[in-house]
Amino acid sequence: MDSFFHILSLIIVIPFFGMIFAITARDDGLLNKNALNIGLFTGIVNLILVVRAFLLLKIDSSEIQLIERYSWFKSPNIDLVFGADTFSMLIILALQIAFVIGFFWIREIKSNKKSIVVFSLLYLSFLNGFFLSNDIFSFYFFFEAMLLPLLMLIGQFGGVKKMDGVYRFFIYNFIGALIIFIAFLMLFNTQNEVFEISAIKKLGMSDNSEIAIWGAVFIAFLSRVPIWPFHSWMATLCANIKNPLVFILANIIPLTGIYGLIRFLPRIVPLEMSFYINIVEVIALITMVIISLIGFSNKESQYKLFSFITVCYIMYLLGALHISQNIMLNIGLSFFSYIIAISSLEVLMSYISTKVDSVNVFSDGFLSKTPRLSFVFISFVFVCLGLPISSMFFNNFIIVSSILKADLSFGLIVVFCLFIASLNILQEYFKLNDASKASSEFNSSFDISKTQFVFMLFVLFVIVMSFVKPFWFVGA
Amino acid sequence: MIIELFLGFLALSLLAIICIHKNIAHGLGFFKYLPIAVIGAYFYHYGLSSDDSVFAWNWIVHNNTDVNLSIKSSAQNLLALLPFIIITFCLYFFILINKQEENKARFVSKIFVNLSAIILLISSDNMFQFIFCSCLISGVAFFMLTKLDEKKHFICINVIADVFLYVAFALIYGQLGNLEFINFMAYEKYGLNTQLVSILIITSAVIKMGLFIAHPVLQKFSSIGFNRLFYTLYLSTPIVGIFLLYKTAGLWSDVSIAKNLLICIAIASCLWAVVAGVFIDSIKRRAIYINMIIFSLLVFGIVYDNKNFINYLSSVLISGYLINNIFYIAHISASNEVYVSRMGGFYKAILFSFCFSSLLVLPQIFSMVSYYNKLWFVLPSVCVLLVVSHSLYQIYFSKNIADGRVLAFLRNVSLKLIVPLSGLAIYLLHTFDLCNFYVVIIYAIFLTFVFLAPFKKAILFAENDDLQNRDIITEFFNILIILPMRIIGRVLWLTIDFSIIDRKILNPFSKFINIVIVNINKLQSKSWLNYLLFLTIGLLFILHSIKAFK
Repeated sequence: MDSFFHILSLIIVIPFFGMIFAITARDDGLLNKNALNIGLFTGIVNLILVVRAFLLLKIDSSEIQLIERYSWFKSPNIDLVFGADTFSMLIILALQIAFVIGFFWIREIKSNKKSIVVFSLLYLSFLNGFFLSNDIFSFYFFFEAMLLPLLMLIGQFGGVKKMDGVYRFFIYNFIGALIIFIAFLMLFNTQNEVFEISAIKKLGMSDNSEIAIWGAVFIAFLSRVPIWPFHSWMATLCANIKNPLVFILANIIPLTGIYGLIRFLPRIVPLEMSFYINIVEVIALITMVIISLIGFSNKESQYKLFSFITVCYIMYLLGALHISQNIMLNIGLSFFSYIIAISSLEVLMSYISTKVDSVNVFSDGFLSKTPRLSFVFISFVFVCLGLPISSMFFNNFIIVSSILKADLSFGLIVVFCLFIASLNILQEYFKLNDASKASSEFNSSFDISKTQFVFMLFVLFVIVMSFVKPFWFVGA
Repeated sequence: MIIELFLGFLALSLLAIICIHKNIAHGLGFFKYLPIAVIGAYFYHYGLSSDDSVFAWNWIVHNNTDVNLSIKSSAQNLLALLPFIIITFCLYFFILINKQEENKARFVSKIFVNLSAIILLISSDNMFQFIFCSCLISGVAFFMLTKLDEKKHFICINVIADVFLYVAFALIYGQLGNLEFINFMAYEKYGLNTQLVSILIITSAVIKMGLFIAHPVLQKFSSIGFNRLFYTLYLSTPIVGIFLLYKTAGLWSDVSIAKNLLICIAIASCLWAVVAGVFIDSIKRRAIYINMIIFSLLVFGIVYDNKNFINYLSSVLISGYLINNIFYIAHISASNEVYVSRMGGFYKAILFSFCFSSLLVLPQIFSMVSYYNKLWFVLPSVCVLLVVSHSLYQIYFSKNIADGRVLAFLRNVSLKLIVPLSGLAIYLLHTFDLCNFYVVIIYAIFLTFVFLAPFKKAILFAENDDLQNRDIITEFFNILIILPMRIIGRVLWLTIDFSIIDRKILNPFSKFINIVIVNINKLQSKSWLNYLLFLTIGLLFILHSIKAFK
């Protein structure tokens, strides 16, 4: 064990224990406050732990640090290795915050929150495991395991009326899982032991098996990123999920695909594969154009948010495909604000949707009657637009700059799509703020409470601080 | 020095926010005029002297590139800042005395935050600080606007401009690897895509300034109050456009296509503004067209005399502001009437207002005479004077068709307006230190134009709805860009998502799975012999696999 304090293991295990506590929590009626408070408390504890882990990290270094090694089997030799670098820790930190936001806002929803909390915590545990795993076995395990609680969450509590979307989600991710399973088996067979991800570059493989393995890895990770034709499941799901927490959780799946690509591809992809990378880039670009334009013509608010989320994810994917160590941290920092911003926007949209459904009218003009909500909503829209109030501003600039440098016309199309996707969000804000179309049913009692307002201001503060000094919470 | 001003304006902004609470505001009423006294005392004491000190805050270190926020107290920066401080404080005073102004404290708070952002903008020596200030200024203006339609147009057009700027700077950064303006000359010499970058920067600046083709957006602000309008025209995004051109001139000035494009846009803006200024009925829109000419003049200044640009920035902006106040005076005198066609013949009732208004063009005439050898300066000035003379004729001397209410409440310009505006005009006239025969001649010609009114027939078009309200450029924009994008989006959804993925891929796949399941079901006949058969097949397969592995 390289580190005395097993902080990374704790980050994985605490949500799991939280889940057990939530299962055993006493039922207290429809509100399920006990389970919800356990979920919130676990999220906050984990958040503190992640900040503590940051204090132990050397932020400037791109190496994997805080390594924790557990020997499991001797024959075959399977060591579980956990480790983190600044990039992965930034994502984990953002995820904990997104979870806390989700837990905070599902209080208003009348459904079986105990089960939601249980599956969410299990999912969080697996997610943390995925982002911290550093050997191919645990990487594969968490990559697959996270699908189970998510499938339950989407199917049972997502509020998805058309089960078609859930089937698609399962089919796409299951096929991806099978493919990566085969790839990892082939990798395992080369050494007959489990090894660290960073050791893959040292493996001696024949050209054909190299292409087969990386092709499979590629397809598996891409099946999670909503690029054509894989975007279909996410489009259907995102347009239908009603529960904000489930929406947040479902939208983390593409992140796992991009993270997988970032972890595997840059240093080890064989030359033969570069041609295929170009093809993927072109497909990603076409997807960006398609999704942004469909979002522009589509009137559903959820689809608009989905189009923004997808276009940004693909931009990060393209950044990852052009990756150099120099911009890896930029992608991480941008991800940080991005995850928090879309989570916040989603909970606010869901809040509006719940209130509007209660009086059975259109949502147009809702924000014009709710000043607090309007303020936080437009602030998060500004974050999504990439204005200088979040770490997305500078870091997206660096990412776009590197894409433009690699290929000008390519980069210009990326910027165009980003612009359209941002306009989609802006369109939604103006629709919601159009006082001339506001229903007479709306009044100031529909506004968010002071507690919710202060909470969202705090989230905004975190985002703004990521712009002022990205690592302010560790004093760097 | 400038850092003190920066912090001072931020403090004033905070103070104004505190004043939003009525109880506190009552107690702080005494402080209302204090900022004016303080800034007056500051400039009386220090003048435009500076100590060349630099305040720099190391913001981000990226790839060994420091991103700093810096404020340099140079004489040049102070000179560039002067017109904005003057106009801000003038506005501040007018906000205080205007009883109809809503949310005064919020407005004041925003104009001081905006002034702080302008200080950062003027001092910026790197692209990052510049974009940051640009976005900050746009953000403040966004919250300043009250109507949704105005906000929508404003934010959309500014996002477009910022995207152009973003791409241009990203391209430069990709090659230079740093963010300093000082290195732009190197990019011009050795960089790739200099033409594209120059055109992107120029387009961004033109959009921000609201020059020709991008001008309909500023026209949308004709429904806001005059104080907010002047804030938008003289203290907001247009100045970002001007400083963008000024700071990046080292890059685009040697790219002939970019330079020519800019000159063409400036000429077209002047011409369009003169024609529209004569025919458009609303005085607020005329004020916006005057501003368009003023900014075209500044563009000419950057193109032809970049080195001395800061020297005449002050005089051009302040004289433009004074001329725009002619419309403000008419507006107040005529009980907030906006349309020129509902004015006319006011000279009998408010002769003093006319006299004072006609004197406000003097700074423009003085500057025109002092730069008589520069054609690029004289031509826009003539355009401004043409529009103003025509407007003065229509307001004060044309046939009286104002309604009874307006006529009954006509009143001369108040002393509260006269004092600050006269002070500004005298300050400017003093700086020119010139009183010659040409000034008298030009002023006489101007007055002749006012009385003779060569374009008096233009009033006939006041009722023409197409001419007054139709926004052809926005219509073209909608037809050529927005509509096709919507149609393409819809078609893509129907073809790619629905027809191809749903019908051609997912449905057949789903049917295939169904067929497999049905056939497997058929194989299961529920008899024990059937299960035995499958168990045997499975066992044989496992045995074969073990043998193969060995």
